Amino acid sequence: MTYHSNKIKTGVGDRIAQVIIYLVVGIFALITLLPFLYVVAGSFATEKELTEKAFFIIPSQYSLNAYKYIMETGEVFRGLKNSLIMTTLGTTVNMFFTTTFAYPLSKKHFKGRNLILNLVIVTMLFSGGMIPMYILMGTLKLKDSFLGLALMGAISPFNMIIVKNFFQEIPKELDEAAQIDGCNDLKIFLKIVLPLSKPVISSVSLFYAVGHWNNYFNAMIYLKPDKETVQIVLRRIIVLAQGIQTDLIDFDSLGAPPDKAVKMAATVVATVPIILVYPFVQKYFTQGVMVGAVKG
Amino acid sequence: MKQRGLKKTIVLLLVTAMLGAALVGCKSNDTTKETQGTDPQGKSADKKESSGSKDSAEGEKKAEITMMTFDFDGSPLSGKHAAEVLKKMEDYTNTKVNFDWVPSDNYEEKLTLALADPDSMPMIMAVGSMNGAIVSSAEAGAFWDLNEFIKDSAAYPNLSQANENVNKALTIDGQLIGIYRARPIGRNGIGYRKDWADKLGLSEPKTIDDIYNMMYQFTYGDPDGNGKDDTYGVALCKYTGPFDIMQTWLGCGNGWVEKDGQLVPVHQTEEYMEALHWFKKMYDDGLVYKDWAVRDTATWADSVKNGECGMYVDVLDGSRRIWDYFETNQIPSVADSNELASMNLIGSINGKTLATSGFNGFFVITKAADTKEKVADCLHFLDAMNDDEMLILSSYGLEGIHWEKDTDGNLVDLDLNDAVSVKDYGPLNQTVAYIPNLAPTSIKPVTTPRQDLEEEVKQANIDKAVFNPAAGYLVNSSTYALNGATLDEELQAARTQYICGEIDENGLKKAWKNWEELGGADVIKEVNEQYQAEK
Amino acid sequence: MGKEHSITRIDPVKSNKKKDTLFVYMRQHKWLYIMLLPGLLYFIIFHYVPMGGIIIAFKQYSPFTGILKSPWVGLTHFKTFFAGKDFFLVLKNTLGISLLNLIFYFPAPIILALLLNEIRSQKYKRITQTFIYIPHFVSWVIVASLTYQLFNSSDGIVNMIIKSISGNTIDFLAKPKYFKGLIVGQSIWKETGYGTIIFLAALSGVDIQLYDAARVDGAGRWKLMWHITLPAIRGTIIMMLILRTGTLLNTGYEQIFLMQNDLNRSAAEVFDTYIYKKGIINAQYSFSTAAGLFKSIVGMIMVLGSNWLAKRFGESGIY
Repeated sequence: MTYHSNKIKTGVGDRIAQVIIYLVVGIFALITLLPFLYVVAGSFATEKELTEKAFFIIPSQYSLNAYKYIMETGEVFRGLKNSLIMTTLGTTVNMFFTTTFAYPLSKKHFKGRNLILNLVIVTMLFSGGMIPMYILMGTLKLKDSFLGLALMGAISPFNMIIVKNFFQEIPKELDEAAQIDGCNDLKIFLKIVLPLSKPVISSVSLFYAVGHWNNYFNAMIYLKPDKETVQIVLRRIIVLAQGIQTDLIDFDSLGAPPDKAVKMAATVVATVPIILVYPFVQKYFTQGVMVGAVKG
Repeated sequence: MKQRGLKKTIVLLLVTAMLGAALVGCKSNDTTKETQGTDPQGKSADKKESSGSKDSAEGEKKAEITMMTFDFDGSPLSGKHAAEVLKKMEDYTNTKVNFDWVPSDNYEEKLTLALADPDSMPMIMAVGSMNGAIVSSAEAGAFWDLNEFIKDSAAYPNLSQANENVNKALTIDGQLIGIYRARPIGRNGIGYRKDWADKLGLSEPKTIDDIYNMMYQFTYGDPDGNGKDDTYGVALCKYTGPFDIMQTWLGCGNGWVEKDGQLVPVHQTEEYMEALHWFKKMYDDGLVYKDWAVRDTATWADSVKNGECGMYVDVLDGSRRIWDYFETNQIPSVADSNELASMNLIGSINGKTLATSGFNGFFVITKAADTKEKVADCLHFLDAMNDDEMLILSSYGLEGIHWEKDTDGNLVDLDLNDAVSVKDYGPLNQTVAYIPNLAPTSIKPVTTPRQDLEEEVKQANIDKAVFNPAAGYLVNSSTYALNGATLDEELQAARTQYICGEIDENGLKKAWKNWEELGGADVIKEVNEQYQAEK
Repeated sequence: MGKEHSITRIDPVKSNKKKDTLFVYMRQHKWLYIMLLPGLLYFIIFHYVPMGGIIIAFKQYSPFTGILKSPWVGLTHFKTFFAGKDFFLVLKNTLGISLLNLIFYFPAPIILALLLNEIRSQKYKRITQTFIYIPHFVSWVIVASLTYQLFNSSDGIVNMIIKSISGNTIDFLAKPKYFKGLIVGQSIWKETGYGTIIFLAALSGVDIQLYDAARVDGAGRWKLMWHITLPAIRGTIIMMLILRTGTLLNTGYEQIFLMQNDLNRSAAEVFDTYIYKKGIINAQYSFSTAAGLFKSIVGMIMVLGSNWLAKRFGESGIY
């Protein structure tokens, strides 16, 4: 439902502006899409074509070797499954901690608010580094567990502030009306605030989900092979393919994998799933989700 | 109000930080020695292994050790026949190994974490290259001094043959802390398009002038016969290794040379300047593409594969792989369209080439092996893996399943292109030191003529390879340990900028002065202190 | 008289009253405090406890020796950091890139979000949105190799076009003066699409009826944007801006490292690559922790400073 449904005045100037806007957005979309098309095309191309041609969208010769190599040598499906578990579990943990933490802080009258916000901002900037965290996780017996990884990053201060600011925008009248009705803070949060927060919940959930999906480093440090996420699996496949080319691995009794195409195929496998999530989340960004909140 | 809020915050911060430091610090130093094999780090990916984690398992006669090494594979040793392979290895070496396979991508970080957590540190650790963490851990006593062990040729027939010179690079404060993983010394050389040479009537280059001539002809002689001026001599990219190799052809040393009883870095020698003049002429004459310094390493070999360049200077197997590419993709020869393009491999020019360090990575025995018996167990395992039978197992697999003998008694690799099958045994590669043999001697694999030529040339190179006399000393130079990367880069960048005409000789001299001030002068001092002490 | 009594009585009771108010408040809003608990525990356990590890910056840390037993070296690492000959060059480069980012890269998602908001066709909007979101997932390695293919002087498309116009090629990849532009351009390409999400979410909260009312009054497209749309996301913009200043000295390591070469070094060495080469390659964790601490302190000052500034202008800042 767009807000342009009743056209009052559309002069020539307006129409030109409209065309320009469509064009600009369209060009930008094309610029961002083209390189990815190349990656997809490359994943289906032969090593020869990739060596000789700098850029193309349709390969002149098709080859499924790269995908075959990935399916056979890597534990790609296991990786995808693990990534799915990690992302779902992680995002749920994230949203629970983040929203419950952000709500009290969104109340300007909350005692201790500034102190806590200061403490949180400090954590955005200061960190002890990888080693103390590793030792801590060991002490807490949280190594090699999805829950451990999820807890480790339960709240991103940046995302939390986004949620908090959104909560702050919700009109006070709703609060007051509910209190008159006898609701306590928890009820207000669950029954009024959350339902009104669909845009921010969906976008922040998306941010967290993308973060989990793309997470390579921490997953690699803490998870054991059977829990490996897809990023780890694919990164290793790429390294293996390159390693053979440079003989990092001893005495190549391992044959020659299609190196360039493998890199591209790995990118496709790793990114397509999460790209597909976005259209589903988009509908929460439509205009006017908040309409009726105050009036009603 | 805000002031008080801030103050409160700071106090809270300090208190928690101190508490945190205490907590975290305490844990990392609590080195209670647990029974080996019970720690979670030691369990390998293969489910079968986890049952035998206590001492009194089925293999009670077998030694039991933990080992951390590179995983290039993903679920290593988990294929159909992996269990058989593993059993054969255990029986032969009489050792049960609890592997911790670590993906190679961030191996260094995981290594540091293992060192920081002595509770779960494995007994044997593979190390990629020497770095500050290893050096400081060695100085703090994290590793055993292997000098007293491996000289025993009865107990360690293979490891005792380790090359003395190479061992120097692994000696810190007089302690030999590692068993190196051997690599051919004569690996560096040049490959060139034989079909281009044939077409232009060029014979195999032997001197530096021959090389120059070949580069010139490859650039301006239109070897691919398409009438366009689109070919070049040597393929280069932002990785400047080829210059180090070519420098030796011009009489320059490898990193450092001896001059008047002292060791000096090569950039302070005349031969280096001569070499740089030669490179500059090569660039100015257009014999290499103008933007070589910004080209990525990933596309380096491509420029030869797709016919842009005709020469490749790096490890010989690199050139051989380009040759393989021509064969696999049926690239036609420019001299005779019925034939395929080919490369010729040459080890040395003017009788010289650049020696490799002779090794690529090493194994350390950590104090997690807390008794001399455990150390002996570890060393025995490493030693046994170099016996012929284990070399065959880790390189080719099980007879009848992964390879078989042909009528000449040579080894035919059955799974040459089957990466899945190789998983049964391939990862074992990472436990082999290849001392003293780089390959099994009792049986020869069937190879392509290209691989044969490569081997031949590499062997011939051994006498012609120029070594770096300071290799063993740089490791013990504290300035180099802190600043080495920056220092090397400074020299390398100056060389590139001079060749491309961005700076002149004065600019070079300025850069060298800068190098000295950045710490180069200290490195020279520290290296020579050790050098004089040894003389 | 009675008044005086109450006045004098207020003083000693004052402190009690304050405590009472606090407890009363807490009891009244007990759910708020309970809700705060999980997050609070999280920050304490997973951020403040390991933060103690920062003392590594003042020690010569060796992993095997451990945090407590490694020897103290005081400010040595900081001295090495500042006294390094390259320090000012590195600082200049880092700030240069950050400044350009602030001017060009920061507004890009905002502008794009506003444009997207103007699009009537839902289908067009949805399709373009999905496309622009993709580069966020493409690794820097691929971005770097694509940059090479587009901008190199032999056969890069950009140079082909420039050559046909002016007859010369521009050595984008080798000349130091183009480095910052390339980096900022890459960032814009990669992150603008993903960055619009948060602004679009904010925009979706704008009351439709405001628009309708204004249009009845005769407001055209641009007036609507200026008076209704922009103010609606102003809070979000300010918040993002403040948080950005905190990362002034960060440029990310991977992107820069891939674009560095021997010829553009004088412009291409930034804090993160400097720290990487000195600290991480040689596993000198103390050094990199010290450098990181310096970055954190500067970031903190920037965030507090810009937040204060925002408040002075009447904005809500991040508090």
